[in-house]
Amino acid sequence: MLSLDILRLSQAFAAHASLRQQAIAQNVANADTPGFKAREAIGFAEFLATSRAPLPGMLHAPPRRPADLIRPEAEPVTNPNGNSVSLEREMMRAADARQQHELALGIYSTVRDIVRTTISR
Amino acid sequence: MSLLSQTLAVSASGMQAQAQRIRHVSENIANSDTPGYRRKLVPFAPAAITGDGFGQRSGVAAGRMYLDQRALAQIYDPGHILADATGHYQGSNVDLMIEIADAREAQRSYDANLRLFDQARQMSQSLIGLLRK
Repeated sequence: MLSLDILRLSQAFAAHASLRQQAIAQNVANADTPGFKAREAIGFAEFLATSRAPLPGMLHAPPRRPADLIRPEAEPVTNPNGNSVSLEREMMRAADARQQHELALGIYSTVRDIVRTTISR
Repeated sequence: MSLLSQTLAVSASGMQAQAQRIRHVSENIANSDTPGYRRKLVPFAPAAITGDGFGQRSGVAAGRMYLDQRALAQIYDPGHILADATGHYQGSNVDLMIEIADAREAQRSYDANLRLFDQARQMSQSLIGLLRK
């Protein structure tokens, strides 16, 4: 079943987008915290590789420890108070994460529509 | 608790901390002419969000308020009721320029948190929207 693979892939893509959104929200919330190091979500390839396939009879894979999915990023500290968050960079990433989420949902609903059309015939 | 609602909680903690900061800034500005007033400051520190599965402290919280220990301004006014033998009294150590810059920074950060809150909300809304079709 090729189409179900695509559904699963787009689901993981959407989950990755919300993971990125979570990392961005953490950075922005701590934009004025002294000594805070900016964090970044792991890449999609790594995210997909670490996501274990659900066991038979399970709807979803067991939840992973989210702390492993968001890591401190190696950006140089630019603020005198030791904070390495740049609001501009975070805003850019936020736009990117949102686009990724919309794309994932778009693919999901398109595939679902195709499956639905196939069935109703 | 899904990842997106955790994201909402993280952004909300950021807004709350910035709002507390703005509150102290406005207290400082209101008391800028109060004799003997020391400006109030709040330290920010990463804080755990209740109910998230994160081992790391993902949100932010404003800590205990503390007073700026800079010297108070010496104001010359022999007629003032608090004036000492030299005719000076101690004013506040509030610098309006610093307070306004601080308020501006807090507002910018608040806006950034609000934008991300709204974005996470829209993302979960479009996710729910898939169910409706």
